[in-house]
Amino acid sequence: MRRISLTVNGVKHDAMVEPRQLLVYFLREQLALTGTNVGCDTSTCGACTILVNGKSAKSCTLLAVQADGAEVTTIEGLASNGEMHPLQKAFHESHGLQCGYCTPGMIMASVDLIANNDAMSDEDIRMGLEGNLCRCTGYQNIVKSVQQAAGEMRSPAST
Amino acid sequence: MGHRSYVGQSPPRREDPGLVAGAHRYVADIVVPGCLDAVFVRSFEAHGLLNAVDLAAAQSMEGIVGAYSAGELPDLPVTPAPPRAEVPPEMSWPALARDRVRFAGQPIAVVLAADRYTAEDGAELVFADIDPLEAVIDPGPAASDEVMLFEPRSNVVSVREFGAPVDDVMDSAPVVVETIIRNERLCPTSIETRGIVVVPDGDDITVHVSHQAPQRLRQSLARSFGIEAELVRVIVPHVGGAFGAKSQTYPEYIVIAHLARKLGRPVRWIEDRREAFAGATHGRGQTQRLRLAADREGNLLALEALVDADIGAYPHTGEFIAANTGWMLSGPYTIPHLHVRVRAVVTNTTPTAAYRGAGRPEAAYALERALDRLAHRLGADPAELRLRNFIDRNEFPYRSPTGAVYDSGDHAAALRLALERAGYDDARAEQRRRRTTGDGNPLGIGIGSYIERSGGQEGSTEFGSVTIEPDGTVVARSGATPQGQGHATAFAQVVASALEVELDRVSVIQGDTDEVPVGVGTFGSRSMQVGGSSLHHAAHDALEEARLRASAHLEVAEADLRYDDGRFTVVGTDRSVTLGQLATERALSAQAEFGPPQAFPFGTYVAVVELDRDTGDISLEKLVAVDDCGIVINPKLVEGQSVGSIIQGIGQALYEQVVFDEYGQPLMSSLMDYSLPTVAELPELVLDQTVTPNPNVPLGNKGAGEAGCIGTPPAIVNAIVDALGGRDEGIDLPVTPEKVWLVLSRSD
Amino acid sequence: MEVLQPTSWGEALAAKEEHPGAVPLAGGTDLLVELNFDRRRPETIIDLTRVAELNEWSHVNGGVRLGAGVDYTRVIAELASELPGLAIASRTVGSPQIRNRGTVGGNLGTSSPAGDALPPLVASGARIELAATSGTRVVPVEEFCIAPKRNVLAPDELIAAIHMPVATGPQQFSKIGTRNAMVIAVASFALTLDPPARSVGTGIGSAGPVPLRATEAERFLEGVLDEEGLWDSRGQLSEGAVARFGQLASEASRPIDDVRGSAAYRRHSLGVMAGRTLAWAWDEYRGTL
Repeated sequence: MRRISLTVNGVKHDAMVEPRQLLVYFLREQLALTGTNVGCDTSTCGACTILVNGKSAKSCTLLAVQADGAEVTTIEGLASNGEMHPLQKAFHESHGLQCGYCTPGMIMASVDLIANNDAMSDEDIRMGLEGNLCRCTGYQNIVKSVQQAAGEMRSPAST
Repeated sequence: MGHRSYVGQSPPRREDPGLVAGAHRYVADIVVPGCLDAVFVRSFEAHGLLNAVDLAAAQSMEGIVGAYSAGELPDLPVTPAPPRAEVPPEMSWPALARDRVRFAGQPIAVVLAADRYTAEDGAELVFADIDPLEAVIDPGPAASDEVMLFEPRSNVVSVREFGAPVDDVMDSAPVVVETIIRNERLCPTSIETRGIVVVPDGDDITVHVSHQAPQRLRQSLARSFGIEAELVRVIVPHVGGAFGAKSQTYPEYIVIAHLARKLGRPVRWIEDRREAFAGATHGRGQTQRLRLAADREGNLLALEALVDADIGAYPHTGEFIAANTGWMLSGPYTIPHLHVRVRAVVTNTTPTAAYRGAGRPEAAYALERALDRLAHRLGADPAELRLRNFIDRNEFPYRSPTGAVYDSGDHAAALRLALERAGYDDARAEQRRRRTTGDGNPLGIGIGSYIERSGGQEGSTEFGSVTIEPDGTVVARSGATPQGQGHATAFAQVVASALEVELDRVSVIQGDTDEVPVGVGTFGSRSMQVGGSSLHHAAHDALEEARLRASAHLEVAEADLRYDDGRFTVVGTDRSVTLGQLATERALSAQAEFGPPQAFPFGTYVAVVELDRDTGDISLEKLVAVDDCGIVINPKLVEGQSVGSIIQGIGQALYEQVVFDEYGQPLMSSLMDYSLPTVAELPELVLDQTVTPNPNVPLGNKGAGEAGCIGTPPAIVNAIVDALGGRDEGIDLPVTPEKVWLVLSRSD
Repeated sequence: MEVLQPTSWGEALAAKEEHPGAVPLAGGTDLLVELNFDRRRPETIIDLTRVAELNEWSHVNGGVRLGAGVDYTRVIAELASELPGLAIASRTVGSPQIRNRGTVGGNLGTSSPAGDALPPLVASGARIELAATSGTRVVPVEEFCIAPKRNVLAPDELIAAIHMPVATGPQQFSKIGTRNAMVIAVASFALTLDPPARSVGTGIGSAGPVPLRATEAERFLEGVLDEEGLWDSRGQLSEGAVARFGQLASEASRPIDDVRGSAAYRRHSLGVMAGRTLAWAWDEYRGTL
């Protein structure tokens, strides 16, 4: 067992983990943050996407010990003061989800995408979300949701 | 309908706030103290004699609670057959393989530990001694019985026929086109895999499971274990997609429930992705030989189809899905003579079951490809050929040659609208220009006209109840259990509209057999058509009961009551009583189990593709989808179903295919090998609709869940073949750039 | 399983010397998949992500020394003008999350013939710096990979860096896959034009046991460009020359049939990609892009 210390959604955690434990299972089982879902075990589907030090990462591609000292954000950490994050709101309003299983990963990937792109063309969104599979929506409303949120997050009113 | 109607509106989904916050629970999120994790050991051979399973090393490993093969569990029930399948007892599917393995991925043993990692370590130590036997992968050769799976029984499980032989029509017909079509196997691939947690409590078991039909699963488990259904509670939490593959009782479920009962401890199994490819069911998998006869004007005379359905190693739901293909095969056309023979054949592959469309895409694809072959042969415009043969809008209800009764339709209107939205004439002009000048890449326009079939078989009902609470809120219960479609929102719309109350006053309960003991489930595009109608009837009955009570309470005739927004008022006075008040002394509730006839939603899709002359790369420039599912309750949800289903259809047309090698080894084990469409595959979509109400249900609606994956593949493939000038040799599903290049290079 | 997490290059090399069977872990995008799928159960993993020296790139001797741990996202953002071919290829790797973690060093370590970063390295004549506690050696990328998933790394060695010349002319990369995103290449082709040196570089991916060079195609094109004085005139390349270049590139491949594509299609598509990348690169050189 190894001791790790990391910040998740602004809260510092010290924990003992097995070296082979994946970060996603650490988050789900030890911290009970089950909003991050597992879909493929091969870093393909993107359901387990979280932010590690502000950058999107598939949490099945990291060992928990690798997150020692890191700043991690999961879907549970997005809302503030009970207010939905603009992306959460946009996915809701634009019907960007059906079963919801890919949604946390899709939203976390979008957070990185919006933070790191000045323009938000269709092409940017396609490239930004190409690592997140959705089997329900056909993506059209997901693209719409991200556009809506990006617009809202950049409008002067929200800054 | 009163002034409060939510039909045709798209209120925000009530499911969403918890889902976008990551707060809702899927099966894998459920924490049960003391729960054991199960890991299955699966056959690495597609076919073989299972001589022995050595569990000793696993059993003695520290942390392993138990390791079992069929030998250790003599009273382990077999996998129960689904209600409609014809499964000969000698072909039943053992929950853990006994003596013989018949597909790679078949469960052989199971290992339990307090956590998944330890159980995986234990599973590594299990050794199965298997003598390989020759495997048979293709249903055609399998039907010849040279390699048998269940000696001495033939691999042909059943033969179903529709219509009568049409050889004489074929012999005398002026034009006959023939084609062999392979509808490849697909993997349903919900992003959430299968999962189950079984918690025993004395003789009772509570089953948390990712499932489409909890009441059915409850009955099925109770029968398997020989216990009263009342002892089994099935709870379906949020489900991460299903697409037909979560409607069965799987061998793994039997094993987990058996062990939980045997050990008296909670046991869970969460499938991993590799297991989902090899061990869960696949869909499609048909080889179809078609002959289509017409006169020289293009009037269809007869259709013959010999279908070999590859149903995998054990007959299960796949056994009767191919019958749907036969039942639907005449599509939206008047075809005077039809003969379909469907053979269900076992092979050494993963068993098949429903995957979105379940028999209908196979029918539509075969028929629409044959129709385009005919158009090409006749030199006719494929749109004109279809218009010539559509069932006339005045002929409904229409009885097809297979005996299916189509409720309503106006197929020509849908096709005309699709052509208009696709800019069909302009696209054809551009195509002619390119062909004459040799400029630019080959352009193709393809049409796929289809019928859906929603609502299941004759007599297939759904349970719905509506209870008015003393506080004036309303609780609706339905047996239709969702997997992300938005039932809770749309059902509330139906009930609130029927009761003419505010939408927010209605809550919807589903997916728990303690709350809703009776019900059927969500599949076959049936939830709103059947379940929604039941709720509508229940709400009306509750309202009528309320009216009776109001009349007694206010001591006036019913005719003197005005009902508005949950309140009965005596006309011309201020004396009134609310629904809630009428429910205070006695429960005010009604229920219905409505079973309307099946409906036949329909439509036409038009695809425009451009091919890269050098690489064969296929660019789907535009896809126009015109669907008619009758009256739409919630347009946003229907559109969501449509787009999602269309993208799955694009996957079938261009990307997805389950491949086995000659030894029966699956050649895909991850989502890198099995190419689901990504956001980068989303084409320009044009969605439109015509509205032909369903005459057999109160709200006039039909199913809307599956149309996209039925209409899309033929439209796209017909467009590709059109771009290739009608040459379709080797253009099989999925159509890859390589297949296109092969055709292009042959002509160069 | 044990995970060692050295925080300096010296510690990392010492760890590798002490545990020669240990598997190095960079972005984890290949290794963790193998662990998750139980294809591998290494006793020891050396997590290199904390070794700061690996995460840096610098200019050395007029070229770029790219630390083995620099992720693709940074290659795209920071090196698009110095190493344009590698940057274009990096954009086609996996997905943003994978590009955020995956590294060129990791791609080399895996030594898959389908590694997207490898053809541009071959086309630009990259040299791989390998290190052990006993010292450092540098091998040309073409000598680094020796067979599918096998390379010349000794048990005590780690990949330190990749040395590449700064681009002096257009570079291109093209890849054919089974869908538009997140694909394992069916075939890929990289092209480097080096006008000052009057030389052409090529790299072929997914069409042989290791990434390959199309040497004959390079010599042919260099000949045409020299004989016709095109380096200086920046004149148009004949269609015939582009076609011949494609054909020679195609002939240099040694593909196999597999589930993603046949050898014949791989060979053909390589020819098309070689011709197209040349046309793009030459247009860019002529300033007509």
